[in-house]
Amino acid sequence: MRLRLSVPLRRALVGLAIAAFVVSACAPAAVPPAAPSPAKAGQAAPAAPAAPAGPPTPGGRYIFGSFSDAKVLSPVLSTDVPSAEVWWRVYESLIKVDRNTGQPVPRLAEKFEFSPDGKGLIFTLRDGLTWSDGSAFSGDDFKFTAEAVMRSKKTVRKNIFQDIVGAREFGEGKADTISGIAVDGKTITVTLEKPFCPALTGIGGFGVIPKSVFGKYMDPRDPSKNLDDAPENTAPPLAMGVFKLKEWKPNDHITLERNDRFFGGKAFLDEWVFKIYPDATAVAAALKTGEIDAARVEPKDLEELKRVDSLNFFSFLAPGYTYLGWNQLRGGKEFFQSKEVRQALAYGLNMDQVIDKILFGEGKKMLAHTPPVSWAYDPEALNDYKYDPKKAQALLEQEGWTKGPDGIYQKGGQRLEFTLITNSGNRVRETLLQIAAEQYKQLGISVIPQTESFEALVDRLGKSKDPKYGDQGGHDYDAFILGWSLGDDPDAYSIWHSSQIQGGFNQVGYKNEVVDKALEDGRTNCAQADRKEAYKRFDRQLNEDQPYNFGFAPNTLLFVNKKFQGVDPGPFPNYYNGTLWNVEKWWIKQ
Amino acid sequence: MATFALRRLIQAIPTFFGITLITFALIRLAPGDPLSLLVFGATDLTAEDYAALRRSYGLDQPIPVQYLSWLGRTLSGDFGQSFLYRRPVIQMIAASLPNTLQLSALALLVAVVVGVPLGVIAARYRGTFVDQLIRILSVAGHAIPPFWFGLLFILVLSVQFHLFPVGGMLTIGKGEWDIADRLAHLVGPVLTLSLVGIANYSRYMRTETLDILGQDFIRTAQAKGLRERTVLYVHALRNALLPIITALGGLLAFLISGSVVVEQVFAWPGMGRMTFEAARSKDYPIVMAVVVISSALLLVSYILRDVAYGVADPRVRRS
Repeated sequence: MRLRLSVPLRRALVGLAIAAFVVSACAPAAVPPAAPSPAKAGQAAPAAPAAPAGPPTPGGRYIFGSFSDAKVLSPVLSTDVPSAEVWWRVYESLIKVDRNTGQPVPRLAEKFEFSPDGKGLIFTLRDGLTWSDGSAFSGDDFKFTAEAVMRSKKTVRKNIFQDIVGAREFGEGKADTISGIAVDGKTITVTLEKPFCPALTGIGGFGVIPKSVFGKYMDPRDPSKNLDDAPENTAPPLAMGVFKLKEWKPNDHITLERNDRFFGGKAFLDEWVFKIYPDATAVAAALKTGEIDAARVEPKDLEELKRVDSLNFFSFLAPGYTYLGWNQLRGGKEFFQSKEVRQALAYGLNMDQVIDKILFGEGKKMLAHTPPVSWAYDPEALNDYKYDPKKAQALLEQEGWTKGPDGIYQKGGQRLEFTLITNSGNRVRETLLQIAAEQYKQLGISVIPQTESFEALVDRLGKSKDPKYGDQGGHDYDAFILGWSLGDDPDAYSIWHSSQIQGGFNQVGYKNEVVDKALEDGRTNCAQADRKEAYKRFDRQLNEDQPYNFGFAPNTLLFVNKKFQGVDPGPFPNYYNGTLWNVEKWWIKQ
Repeated sequence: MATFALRRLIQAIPTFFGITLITFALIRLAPGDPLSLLVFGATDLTAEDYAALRRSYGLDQPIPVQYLSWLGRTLSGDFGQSFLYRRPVIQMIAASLPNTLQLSALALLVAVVVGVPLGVIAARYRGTFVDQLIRILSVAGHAIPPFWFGLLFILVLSVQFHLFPVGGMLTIGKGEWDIADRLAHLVGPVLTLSLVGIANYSRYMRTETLDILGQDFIRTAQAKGLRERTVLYVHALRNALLPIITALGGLLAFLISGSVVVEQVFAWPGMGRMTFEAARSKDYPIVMAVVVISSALLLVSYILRDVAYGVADPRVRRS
């Protein structure tokens, strides 16, 4: 049952991989207010917590239920959401992002700025930062972390640091330090080879590991040495975060205990526990019995859990979406290259009904790529493609398609027919597949539904070649249903730039100059207003072209026991700590 | 006798390598590999980085070469590192094996302690209402899928009545040696796991006991005027138990490999669940290590059984 979620989870890697942000020039100088603020409209559900009464009482334990264990507690090596959810409690980064908008906010660095040319990043650390053993935190820890990533042979995070001047050379052993990172007291200066706006949240938002612990595994002069097999990767001895590791029983639970030296003031809670269950159903059952205090749940369990008196329900839009992708580089299915056909596919599927049926209303129809919760989102002038089968048919007929005797459109002897694939075991996608096949058939489009294992689908998306368009990057499928879980930065170059058709994640073979230019601008013109304008151009073009049917964005559905005060979750960073951004201020009301 | 044992041992070697070879080939040839799952969505990863990653995991080599290098390491006692968990496989097995042993040993005990007397009672009261009842129970034990029974147990006794925990081994915050808490966590999985055993042993014991009750020495015992109870529990039971003890021999592998279904349903952190997760995420080193250990144990237990037969019956040695 866990596989059902594994695509969103895997795809949340995008969140880690392309998590990046920009700030115009100067940054706010303080952490966001830690006191719970009133939930934003449409964010918190009926049962939003009341303002905590009386002074907070210290002590107690928070148990979070997950249906997947963490794997490795290292920012350098982890690739999965559960691991990140745990190690983000232990390690900290120079900056973080605002939970509601995804905009960068200070963390270990009290100030940060981008140089006007977009190539320099300057961070200023807070005073008096210390690790959990009392030793001082310094810019050297940050620099060491970047060096550790560049020397690791098992990380998938090199892309975050590789554009720093001298980073590649250090990784290959041609230099014994990364020349583009300069540490001078509290000031860290990072120099990039070329302007790259997402670098701020990418580099600044990377978890910093202690040099004093991992330094012994590295040798500046020997590139073959790295921390890949260090036992401290699974048992971090030092912490910078709110908690530190107490014990880890694999496939059972991980217990963290309070770090009294946390820079934001020590937490009220004594312990934070990550408890593992085999699947979402077991997690829901444990929520009901009170065995766990909180969990994210699936829509199917919603109604029952809402009736549990002891639980508060939070619901907010997640940055990401489930979509139907139309492969434009597919021999014999060239009709996907027609904008009108793709628009007809958008008008011809009742997405609001899908959201009601599959997500019980806990979601939102997507009109383009950028998440509606992101600061970069601008709904202005986006066509909403309201369900309109007549309009869909008119678009097809206008393109010269006529209905054949079987009720399916045809043109020049070719039927409007394609195979739609999704991964088996994902109930949301399988249901969407059925509904799409039915509704498109009523329209006069024949859809052959197909499911295969997630592994096989991943192979097909990445490695297969279309017999006719394989050389141009075309893959062996007509159309597919999958999901993206997106990061904090609006950058979507790797998914939509035409250079990413060959071997990248532009798996539908979409090429458009306006989109290419907008994505390049979004990476190089780092003033926030400029970026926002670039992503507006980008979203408008995608909205017009409909290279995907953009489907819907699901809500994150979170339940937390009512006794916890100060819980005020938001969508950013996606999945792993938008809930816990202020966990040090939480307390238990008896 | 020694040559017989040696011969069986030598015969087992090709079988063992055959098992590892087939498992290795099967898991590698299945669609998807650990890296594409690991890096899926790391959208900025370059082709060189990906190639370097493949190299660092040794996945760039042809499968036969990978098999040989795996074999070399394994024979020297190194099971390697888990791809996903980045720690030695042996360490992961050491963490989950005791949990599985605890569960399966208890389940076995319950199966024998409940199943055997049930069978004897059924035989004793053959054809009566008691026999019928035990028969129904035993058929039900066979027919009910363990996962269904487990889910029902959780739904009714845990979620509705809060009598038992939903899953896991311990309540967070209770000590490692809180026996009551531990037992509460054990009831569900042990009961579910022993269900089939109880059904099996009771049917088996009933047949065996009936067989023996019809034999001459029983009649002699009865003729001597021994009490019914003595005849049944001293004379009949001891003899009926022998085949059961033989059947227990093959259980070594069951004891350590654990039950995937029961461990999944009850969130039991044992070998079965670990192996299942590893197979799903293509964590080859774990899957292979478990296959090696359990097939080796299975082969050893067969050899021991054959040798034991050989000791008991000289004819076996010559055949």
